[in-house]
Amino acid sequence: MRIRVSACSSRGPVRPDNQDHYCVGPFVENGPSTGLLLDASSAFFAHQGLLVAVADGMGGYEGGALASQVLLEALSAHFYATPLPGPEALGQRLASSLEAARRTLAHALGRDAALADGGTTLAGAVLAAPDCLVIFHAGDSRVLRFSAGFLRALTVDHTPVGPDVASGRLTEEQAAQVPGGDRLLRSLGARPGGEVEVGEPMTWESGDVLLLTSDGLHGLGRGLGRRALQERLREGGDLDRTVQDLLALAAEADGSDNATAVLVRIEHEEEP
Amino acid sequence: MSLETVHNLPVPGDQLCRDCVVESVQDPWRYLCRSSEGRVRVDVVGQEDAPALERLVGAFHPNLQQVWRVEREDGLAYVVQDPVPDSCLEDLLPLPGEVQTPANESWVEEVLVPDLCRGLKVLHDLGILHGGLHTGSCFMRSDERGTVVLADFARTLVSQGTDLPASAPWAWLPPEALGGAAPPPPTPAAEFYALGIVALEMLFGPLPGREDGQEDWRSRWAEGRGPSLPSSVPGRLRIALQGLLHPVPRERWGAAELDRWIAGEEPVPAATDPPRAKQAPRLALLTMSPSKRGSSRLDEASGASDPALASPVLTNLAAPESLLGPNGRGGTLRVEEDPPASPGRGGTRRVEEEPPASPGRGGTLRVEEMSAAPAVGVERHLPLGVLAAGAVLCTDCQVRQTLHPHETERPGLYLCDAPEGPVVVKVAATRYPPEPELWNRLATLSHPHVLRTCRTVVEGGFHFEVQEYCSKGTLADRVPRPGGPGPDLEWLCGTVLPHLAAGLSYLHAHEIVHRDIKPENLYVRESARGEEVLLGDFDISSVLTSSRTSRDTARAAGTWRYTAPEAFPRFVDDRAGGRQARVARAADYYSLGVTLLELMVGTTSLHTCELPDLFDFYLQGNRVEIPTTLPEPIRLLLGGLLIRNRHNRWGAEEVQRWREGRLTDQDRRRIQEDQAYELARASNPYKFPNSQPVDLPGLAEGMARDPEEALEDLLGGEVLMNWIGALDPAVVREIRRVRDKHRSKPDLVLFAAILYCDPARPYRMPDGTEVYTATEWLRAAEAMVLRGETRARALASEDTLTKLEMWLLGKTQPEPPAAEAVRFVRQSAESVRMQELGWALEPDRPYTLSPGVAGRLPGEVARLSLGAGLDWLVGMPEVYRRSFDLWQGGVLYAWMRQRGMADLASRCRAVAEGLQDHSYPAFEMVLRCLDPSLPPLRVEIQRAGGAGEFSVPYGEVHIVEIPYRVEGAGVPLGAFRLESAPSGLGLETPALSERSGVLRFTLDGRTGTSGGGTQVAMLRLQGGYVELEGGGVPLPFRVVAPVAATVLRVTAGMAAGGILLGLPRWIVAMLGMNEAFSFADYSFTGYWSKTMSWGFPGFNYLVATAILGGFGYAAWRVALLAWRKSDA
Repeated sequence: MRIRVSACSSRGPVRPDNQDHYCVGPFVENGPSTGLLLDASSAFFAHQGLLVAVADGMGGYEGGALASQVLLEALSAHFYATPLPGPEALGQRLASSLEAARRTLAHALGRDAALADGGTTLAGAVLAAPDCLVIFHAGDSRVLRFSAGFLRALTVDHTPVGPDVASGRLTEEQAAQVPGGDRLLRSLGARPGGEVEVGEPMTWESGDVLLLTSDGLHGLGRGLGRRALQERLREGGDLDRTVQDLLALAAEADGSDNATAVLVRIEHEEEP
Repeated sequence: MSLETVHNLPVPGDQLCRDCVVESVQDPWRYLCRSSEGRVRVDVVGQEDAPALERLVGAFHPNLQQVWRVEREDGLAYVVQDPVPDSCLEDLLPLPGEVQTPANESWVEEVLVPDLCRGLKVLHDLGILHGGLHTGSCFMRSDERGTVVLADFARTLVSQGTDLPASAPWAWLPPEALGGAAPPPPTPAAEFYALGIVALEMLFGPLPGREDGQEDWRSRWAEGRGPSLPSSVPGRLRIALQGLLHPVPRERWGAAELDRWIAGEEPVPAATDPPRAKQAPRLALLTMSPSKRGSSRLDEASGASDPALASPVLTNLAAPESLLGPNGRGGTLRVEEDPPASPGRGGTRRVEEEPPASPGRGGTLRVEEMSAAPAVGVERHLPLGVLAAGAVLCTDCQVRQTLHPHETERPGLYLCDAPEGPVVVKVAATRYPPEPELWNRLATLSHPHVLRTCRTVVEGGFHFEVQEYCSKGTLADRVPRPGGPGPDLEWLCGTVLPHLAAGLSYLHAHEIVHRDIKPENLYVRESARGEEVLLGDFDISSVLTSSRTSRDTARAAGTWRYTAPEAFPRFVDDRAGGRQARVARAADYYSLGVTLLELMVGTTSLHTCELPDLFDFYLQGNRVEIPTTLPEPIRLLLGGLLIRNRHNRWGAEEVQRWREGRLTDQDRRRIQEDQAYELARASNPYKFPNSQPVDLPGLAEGMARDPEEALEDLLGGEVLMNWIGALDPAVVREIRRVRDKHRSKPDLVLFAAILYCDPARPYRMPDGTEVYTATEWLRAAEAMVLRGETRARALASEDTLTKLEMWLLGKTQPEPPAAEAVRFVRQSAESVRMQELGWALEPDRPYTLSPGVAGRLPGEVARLSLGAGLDWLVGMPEVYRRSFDLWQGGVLYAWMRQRGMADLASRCRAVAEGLQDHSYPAFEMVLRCLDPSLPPLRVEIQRAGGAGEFSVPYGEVHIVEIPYRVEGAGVPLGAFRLESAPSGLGLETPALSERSGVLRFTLDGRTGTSGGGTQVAMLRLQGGYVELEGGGVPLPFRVVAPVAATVLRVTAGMAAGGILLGLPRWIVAMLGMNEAFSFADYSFTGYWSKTMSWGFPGFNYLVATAILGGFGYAAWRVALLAWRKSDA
């Protein structure tokens, strides 16, 4: 099997800069496109696994871009510092990497009072051999999984309306009307309280597609809804093309925010 | 036309039906004949019997007489079948009084009963009934085990759609088949009864009264003198016979129970009808145990749908326990195991009412062996059924009349005489024992308007409740009927209501909820104060502190009419966090309201509701209609009692206020508010495009109707999952588990969701058939394949079998063994799964080689595959070819796996893999693995030549071909070889792979020396399962010297030499190169002398040398020949 990754980030037509960053393996970018093709049976994957993540620097605060970049760089650096001893060590490695990244971020932001309010969301996934998957997030960036034609969120936004939307008590349109509904209940920054929620280990299999997005892509009432994302993913095709299309659609739908998408697709070797 | 009208009956030598020539006449309708099948028996029957008999054609089974064909001619049907084995069981009956031997008991237990059960099962599976099963229609083979064969199908009936009566003697018919002017058609249950009689006769001899007619047997049963079971029957066999001879067909053992008994499992209650019914899934959930009734009236029992219960003949029928008496005692009733042991009797039982049984015992019958056994009934699980008058319950309650027989799912009611006076002894249904907390309180309840329970007894696994007897019946008798007197409203409001209200108050005060108030459960007692109405029948009553819900109890369908909305299992209480509400006191008042309304007007809108599930009546927003013809105060009362919202419903206080005329505005307002009460709102429906379900079964239906929407919700988010989880967290856990495991298979996730939401839902086959069990699934699948609607692979695909396994484990009545079998079969190749599943789910299913050819044991399969040697005379038999194809397809290995022969299958595979290039021989080896005793093939060499066959002239090379032939059944494989072969003898065709061919030998005379004599080589054959005649064939070989040829060659040489010498001389002479030679002077001697005198230099010497050389050569050859001859 192969693991194909494609990531893209766009500042959008409105924002002056891009405070989003993404991480694909050891690479942290916020540019137009980054791709990676990994052999799931390779030694690299066996010993290192694959880390992907999206971080959305909180706009309106200086240091948002710095926060997202520093966090992901620290996370990636710590995660890939040494080989994984085995899949059983994945949880521990992730936890320690997250903690190290958080401290690094706090230290970076704490050096300058002007950056003290900066922060970032985080949504990521780690894939390890043979089929282990762990997702983690803090804030309203999301991890979704597309399988057999259906897209389902694996995370619940850390916002006041997040659980209501997930349970169906509110639709996304209704949630968007709730004042302060998009306020982040968790984020990572200089201030304490930014605990990352780490999910229970899951499995990945051939045909799975993971989608990591910042709220510029899926934001309540202004981005692409789940069905719209699902429809585009059902069309399939080139992964780079897909991720570009998602950002384009998001820009069409709203475009008021930076938008970032990372797609991870598990393929059979015979697939083109 | 019947046979009786045919005057010219066939005689030996006549031809019956096509090719059957009569050899002997057994009966006017039974002949032994010779036909193309060999020696056969031909039964002549009416054509109306032909359809059933034709179903038997090809139904090969060791316990059924083989029917080859059915020919129809001249209005008759000729059944061509195997002759029956020599020993008819009728001829093997023990003599009366003959001492039973353990061997005979063992044979009955281990052979007779199982064999007849199997035979009956095959018949019933074919949809036919024997129609005349009795001892005379059963035969025993003379094999080692005494296999029993069911035969004499002359009266075989199609089990549906016929009204032909049975033809068995009346003694073999169960009581339900005796009643009525016209005997009812036979049933499978009746045939199992007959099986029991056969077994009984084989143990103890001819049944008393076996020659009696229908009326005699009806009288016997009525008097309780049905067949009895002696105490000497060993325990395990006794259990089976009791089950088979049960007088109540619903309780009687059938194939399923016998199978379990044969398999050595725990004894189970007698057969009941399958609880599931082909009705809406939700109703199936509610009526899972449909037969509970609260009634104690014989009238109602008589009016029941069960004809057995309707027959007046069955009053006072003997219960199974009454069968437990010694046989042959003139038909008197003996109740050995009844009643329970009297205290202090050291474990023995005394039946003082019985006549003397054991000599010198003074009127008692001691049954020491039952000392530790339950008091009533040998086996605690068997219901009591109908008890004859005189039977004793609870030590001192003598049965006067059976009001309702005790069954697995219904309580028994017996009117008895007890020290307290006339009482009703109620025996709890074996499957639904009373709630312990309530049970302990029953005897303590004491209120004028609560049916008094004198005492409660638990004995032998039965719960006895001795109740007061109300001679004036129940309020069900007072329900107004059309054309009858109108209701007495004054009595209802002035007597019934206050009495019931008081009784309810008392019960509720003691924390007991009745839960089943209806006219049938309200008794009328005559007292000094006049008629008194009592609450009775607490079968499903609950103590409020208990957790028992309406799901836990059996409830007959009709009782739901009186049930409050919140007491339905599907009701979801919004105040209880989405869970089902526990039934509280308020529900009793609702039932009281419905009861009163029925007593006033004769019916209610619930009685006339045609919805399959009454809960839908409420879900649709309906209320019970209260006729406007009733007086306003009564309408007010009923309106208050029938408030749907249990929180607002009238209770004891409101009823009291009503009686006193002190109703408040709030009391009245609550009635009005109920008009706006919406049940659905309280149940939080889930919105699908085509439905809005409020419970899990409804959700299942909704998902089935809107699968795409359901999938979107199941796989695209958590909203639906959370909704399900609010109703049942366990269900949502399972669905999530399946979703995570099978997320790439949405169809599977949807299937699981529907299944777990409604486990009572049947499995829907691709053709729309709904099935409820693994066996039904198998039958439906095979039928689809047979009809060509689908391929077996499609039905045995990974996904389909995954669903099947999931369904078998998740449905209401799970079948773990079947699910395990499916899981195992999934590991096999897709091409064999369907067949393997058949063997897994139906262990009795044989390995079918071709229609009518099937085996159950490995040796049998091997022998059938090979056939006989004669079958191979004209080529490979079709059955062999078919068997080979099956083996090549892996079907044989699949069968072996399911028969526990996985190791043997592995060995066979290994052997076959060693012969990859020889598929038929590989198959032969496999067959011989299955049956090592199969005879080997024998190769015969067909030698026509004599001693000269293997002789070759010196210097020549000859080829000799000798044909060979293989005798026996099978495809040979081997290699010929020569032992001690001289150098001139060679075998060109060593391989043996055909049943006939030629052996080609090379005889090379060039390599040997002529005159060297004869050498004998041995022809051998090397092969695993073939052998050469005699073990080896001697082949004498010699090179023959050509004497005549040699002499001829020498003479010819000399003549040639002479000519060569003389011819040139003559030519020269003719050419004038020498002195003239006149031809006329020619003479041989002159010619010779002239030739010799011619003056070649040295010519003379040359000629002489040549002549000498020639003679020398000849001499040498002769000498050589002589030398060789001397060697030989």
